[in-house]
Amino acid sequence: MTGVAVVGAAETTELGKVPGMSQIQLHADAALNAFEDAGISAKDIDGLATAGSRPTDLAHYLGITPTWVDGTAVGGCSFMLHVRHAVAALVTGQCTTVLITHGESGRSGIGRDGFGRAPASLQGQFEAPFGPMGPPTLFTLPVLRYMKTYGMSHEQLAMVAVVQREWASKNPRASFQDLITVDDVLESKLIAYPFHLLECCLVTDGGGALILTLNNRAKDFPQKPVFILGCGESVETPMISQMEDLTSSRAFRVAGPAAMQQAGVKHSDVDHLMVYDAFAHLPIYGLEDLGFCKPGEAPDFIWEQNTAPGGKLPMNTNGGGLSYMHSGMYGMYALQESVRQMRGTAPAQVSNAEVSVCLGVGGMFGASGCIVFGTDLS
Amino acid sequence: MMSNILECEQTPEELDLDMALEVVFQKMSDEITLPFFRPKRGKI
Repeated sequence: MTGVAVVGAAETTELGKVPGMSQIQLHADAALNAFEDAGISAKDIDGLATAGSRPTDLAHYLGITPTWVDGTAVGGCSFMLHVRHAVAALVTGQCTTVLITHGESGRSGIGRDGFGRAPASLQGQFEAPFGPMGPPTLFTLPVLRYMKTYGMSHEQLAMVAVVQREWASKNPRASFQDLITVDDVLESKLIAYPFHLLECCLVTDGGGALILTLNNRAKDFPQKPVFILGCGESVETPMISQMEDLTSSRAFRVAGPAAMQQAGVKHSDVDHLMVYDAFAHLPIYGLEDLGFCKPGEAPDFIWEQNTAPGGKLPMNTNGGGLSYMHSGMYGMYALQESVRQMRGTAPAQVSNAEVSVCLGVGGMFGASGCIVFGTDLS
Repeated sequence: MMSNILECEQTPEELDLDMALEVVFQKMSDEITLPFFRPKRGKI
């Protein structure tokens, strides 16, 4: 365990299409909701972390005077890294109460910072000239290699989206809630072979915020604390073509086991799993790189409904980036769902869930952060 | 490395993973020439 707990957690009041709010307003809306959840105000915050917007902007906008700041930005899992860095800051006394915020006008594009790669970056020099058009095309490289190496079928890939829609159907906040079949997925528009529309994440507006403090202060807050049992992080490469192994993420393989080892949990202890699903193959990589399945076995594991409602390893229980929401940096929403499951307040609550593993990915397979949450300290 | 395959139908059937290729250099401007690949001709 780490000695740190989540004592406040909230998403923006609205998710999906929120054209009336700029990106910084989405940050602030999430932060204010988290303050209310934790029974505190901005003046109680002395540690601040964010990605996608500058921490300086947030400190100014929210009226926070931080003694600790983290602007680590490695893509959609940045918030997992913020949690880990906040743990280190809290246990060494650099601050007492940390706010981590995310806000992204991914769909409406209101007040959004620029996206894209500088021409002189590694990706700009060595990948962009050959024409990849963002994540849907870049992610075809690893998934096609995986399909050839392990014989994963198109139907098996499609099943990931089917199962997650089943979870989303239980969640009134999910963007898409109607049940779908494998045929529906395979008949949806082909985006970039082998990905069909329903195997690609949503593009939505929203935000989320977390408030962290030391365990020994957690009892002073109104919510049931969710304990951070372990954390891990790593990065691999900004260029997807340069992955050590296109069938596995090195960053997953470093971050995941580090988090589980610090938490002192075995695979059989894990009641609930979140694996950031920007595209349908990511949960497959996550299950294997975390060690829940052997290499090549995750497609069957998902096909056999082990991660579906009623299965032995409920995964992406909010509906995931494929069906719940995906603003661009989805990691915050995966963290929020783990916290809800540990509080016992999730729309599709896993009964008696006591340990949740939350694995994030960033910049295609460029980065990863993993957090293990628990309802108890051991 | 990332590149593109030329002189080949741009379909999943024709773009066979692990197919034999050979490099071709294409001049993009006076300063920049990029490496592309095409299906290998003749004996592998």
